[in-house]
Amino acid sequence: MKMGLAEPRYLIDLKAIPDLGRLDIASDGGIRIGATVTHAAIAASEAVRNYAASLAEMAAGIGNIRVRSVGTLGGNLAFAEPHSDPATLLAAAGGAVELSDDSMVRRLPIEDFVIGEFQTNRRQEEVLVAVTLPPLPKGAALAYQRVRNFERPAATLAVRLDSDHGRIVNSRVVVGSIGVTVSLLVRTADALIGASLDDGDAIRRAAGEAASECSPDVDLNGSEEYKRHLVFTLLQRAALAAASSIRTSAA
Amino acid sequence: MDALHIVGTNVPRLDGLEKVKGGAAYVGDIALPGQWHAAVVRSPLPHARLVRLDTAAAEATGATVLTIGDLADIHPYFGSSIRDQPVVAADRVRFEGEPVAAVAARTPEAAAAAAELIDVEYEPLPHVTDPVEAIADGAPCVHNAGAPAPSRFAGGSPDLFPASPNICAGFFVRHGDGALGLAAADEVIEGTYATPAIQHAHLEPHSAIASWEQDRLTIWSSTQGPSVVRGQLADLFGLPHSRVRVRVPVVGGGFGGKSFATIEPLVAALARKTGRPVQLVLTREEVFQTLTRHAAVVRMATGFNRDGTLVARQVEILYDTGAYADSGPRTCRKGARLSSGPYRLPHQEVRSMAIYTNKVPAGAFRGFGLPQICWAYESQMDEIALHLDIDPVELRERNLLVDGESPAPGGRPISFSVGRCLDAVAEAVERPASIEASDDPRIRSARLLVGSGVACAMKSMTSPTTSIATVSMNADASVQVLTSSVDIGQGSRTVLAQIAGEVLGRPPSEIHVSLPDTDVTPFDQGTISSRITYAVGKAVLLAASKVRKSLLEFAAIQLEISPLDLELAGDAVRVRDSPTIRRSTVEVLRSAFDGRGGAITETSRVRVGPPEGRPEDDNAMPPAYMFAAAGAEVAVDPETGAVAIRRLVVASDVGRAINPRLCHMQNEGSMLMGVGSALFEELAYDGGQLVNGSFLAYPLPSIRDQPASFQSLLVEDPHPNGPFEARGIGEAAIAPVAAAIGNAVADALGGRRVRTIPLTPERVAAAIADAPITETV
Repeated sequence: MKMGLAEPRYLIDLKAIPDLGRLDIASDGGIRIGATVTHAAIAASEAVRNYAASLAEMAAGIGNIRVRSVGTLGGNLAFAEPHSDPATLLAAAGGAVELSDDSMVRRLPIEDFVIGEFQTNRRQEEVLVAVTLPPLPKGAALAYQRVRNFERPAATLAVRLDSDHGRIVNSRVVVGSIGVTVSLLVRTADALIGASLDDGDAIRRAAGEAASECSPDVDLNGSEEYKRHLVFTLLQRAALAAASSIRTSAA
Repeated sequence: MDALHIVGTNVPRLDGLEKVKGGAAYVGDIALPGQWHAAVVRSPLPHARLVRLDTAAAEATGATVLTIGDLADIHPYFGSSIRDQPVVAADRVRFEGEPVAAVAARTPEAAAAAAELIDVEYEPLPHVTDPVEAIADGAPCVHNAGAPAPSRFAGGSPDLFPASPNICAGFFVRHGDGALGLAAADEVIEGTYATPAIQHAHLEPHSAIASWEQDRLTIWSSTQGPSVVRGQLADLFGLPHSRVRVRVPVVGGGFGGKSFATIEPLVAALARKTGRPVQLVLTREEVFQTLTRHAAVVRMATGFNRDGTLVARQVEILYDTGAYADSGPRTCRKGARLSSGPYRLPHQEVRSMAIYTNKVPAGAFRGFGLPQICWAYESQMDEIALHLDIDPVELRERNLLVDGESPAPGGRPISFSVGRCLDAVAEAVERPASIEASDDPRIRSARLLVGSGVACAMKSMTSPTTSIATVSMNADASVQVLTSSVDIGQGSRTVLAQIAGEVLGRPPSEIHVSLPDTDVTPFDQGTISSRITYAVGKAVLLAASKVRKSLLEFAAIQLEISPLDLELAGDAVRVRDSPTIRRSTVEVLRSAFDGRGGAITETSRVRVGPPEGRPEDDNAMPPAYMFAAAGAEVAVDPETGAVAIRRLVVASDVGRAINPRLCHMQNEGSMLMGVGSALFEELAYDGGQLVNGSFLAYPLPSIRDQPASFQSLLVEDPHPNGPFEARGIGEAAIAPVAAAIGNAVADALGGRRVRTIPLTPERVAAAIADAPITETV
């Protein structure tokens, strides 16, 4: 609006709708975060911390204290600023948005919701009402890593690992902020499957896969080559953190 | 010196409460009756010919439109050193954002809407945004083709410089013989050191209101230099200085960005055509299109002997002055003169140039050319130290100028406190081995690379300059100080009140230091070059001393005693040998004025620079030198290249701290500004377009970037000419900060050095990967 790109006739404050501000634990152990829950509330939530400490920590690191106190999860996702934290982690967790018009509710995976720079799949008549995250059972963990040169991240990367008896049986890897949208790194995730949780070499190989699989844009945060290098570094850090978190909770 | 009561104390800023409560009025808070508002039409292209400018639709809305055609009666160009900048574009635009036309209308919104209706047709021309490319053969000409006028060069013949029409100014300095000196030295290290254009980012944007009554122009401006802007406007409109009045309300920061005319010519010209007062407050994005700090490329070769003694230096400096000269010629001279740093260099040869490019004009910025050159010479000092395996502090100490030497060969001998500044910071920073041995778990677990570094700087003051101050003591003994110097947030009104209060025995709260109004307040060169405390402070001291002398003379008549036997002690005059015989200042004044009103008013004039030669000009004072050193400890992430500053310490010489707290705040501001320029600030261009010209995209240091250990130290080496032996502290401390951080990073990287700031993670990561060690030739 300040730059004259949008001139809305009316501005409606959705925060007055109580249901949008709820944060609930689902019966299956998943979690549902209303669109107007602030980043600060997510960071402080015991329920969120029990679900995944990395989610609370990510929220605690968004922007600055002013943004966290006033900014909401739904607002952040719907704005679709590429240099943003939450979408990367939520997509790795397998999260989805709930979009509602006056007759029905539609669910979209996070990675299908954000489709471009400041662009989403939300229809004109829809409101983003909540984000849902599937359960994170025992043996699974979520980790988030980022690099920021300025206030907003230059590169974000999240890993979900599901393990069984010390071996990775499923994985999701998502990279963000290096391009206009978050992207699933499928080959990288596959490279992790089958590896033992303490197999540093496998994680290093997956990091190499991530560096080649991602498609960075060139901007003030750095060249394509440097961003691939960052993705390589972040994948290792995130995968090691997730593996370590599984081992810790198992111990 | 007598005991001091007010000087040397932390008097709170006299205007602090008013500012914090939101009561301070800036130009943007003023609304004159009948005032209209301005909007500026700006070029979207970096270089183009103006083919057609259609203003009919805009004028049909009732708005007034100013184009170059409205200025046919004057020479419509301005500039503090060369009048090369048109008030609005004539036939060409030379940078993206250059004003092409200006619009006045009843409201800011109506002005903006009318500006949108102005139709401009451009014919794009090839552009150049790099100063090295700009002086290469075949580069696009920013101004006229052909060789620059010989008058653009000083210190040596134009033949000493590359032949390029884009040289705005050149300055040559030689003492000894640079080439022979390099040949005679045991070894030579050479490097190219680059600094980008950065933004001043003063909180208050450039703002002005202009109002004409017949042939008299009054302008309210956020300027740092009302007396100078008055002269620039008078010259522009062909008016006597006495018919231009510049008033300056409270100013919200400047850092050099408001030193000379910027938007005032345009606003005055628009008001002249509109026939009513016109106000313009730039948007933040427009501030980015108004003035920057010079980007610079410094090629430096230094010869030295194996014992670490510096022998000779050859330097080529390219200051990128953007599309118009502004302060470029003076910046290139200042940088040349300061390129030996605070070191003894028997042989030196410097070619310094201001280069035109198709970028936002570059002008004065805290440090005025010094930060760019200091980045070069202090980076190179550490390269020499590493090469010779001499401790960097030790190498500097072997070469620092000492008391009784002159900053330049053949000059006046002065006292050098830079060694004391260096010692203070060297003591405060730890060497890597002791950092690694510390218990910082973050460093150990993440295997961060740690290092430390120091850097020194010396800055001279602009000369010659004039400052005049008037001091009045009213019948109730309250005091008024009239000055055209501007408090841009540094606290000069408080410091000047302390000086007057000390001389006259009055508390600062009873002293009012005026806001500038050139119809009333006397000439001052402006808030530039760290000169307010030193020069204006001295003028206030002298005028206040004359007031005190008159006061004692009145008391002497009343007490029937010689004034020589009297002294002022607090709020009373007393007999020196019989202190019980006293008369309060208020009583003295009441008797003197027979109970009616009155005042004792005195004016003093100070000239910084060589004496003018008339015997009555006994108020000449030499330009002061300022000294500072910085020390830094960093931790570098070896994988991402991210630099974290663990500790930053700066020591600068203030002569005598008139207000220690304000001095520390100046240092702290310099430190944080230095951190920004060292680690991330850079105005980025792509295809001639500024791509990060907003606070959304341009990274400024915030409290998040303040190192955990952040320390300002004051050194007090009394200056023989300063008021109460004080000297300025606004600028010197910013210069060594980036180099100290750069040296700490190179230390952490085992000598691998990044010679370009900002030290972005990518540049640091590349240095870690590539290991380009110092080239020795």
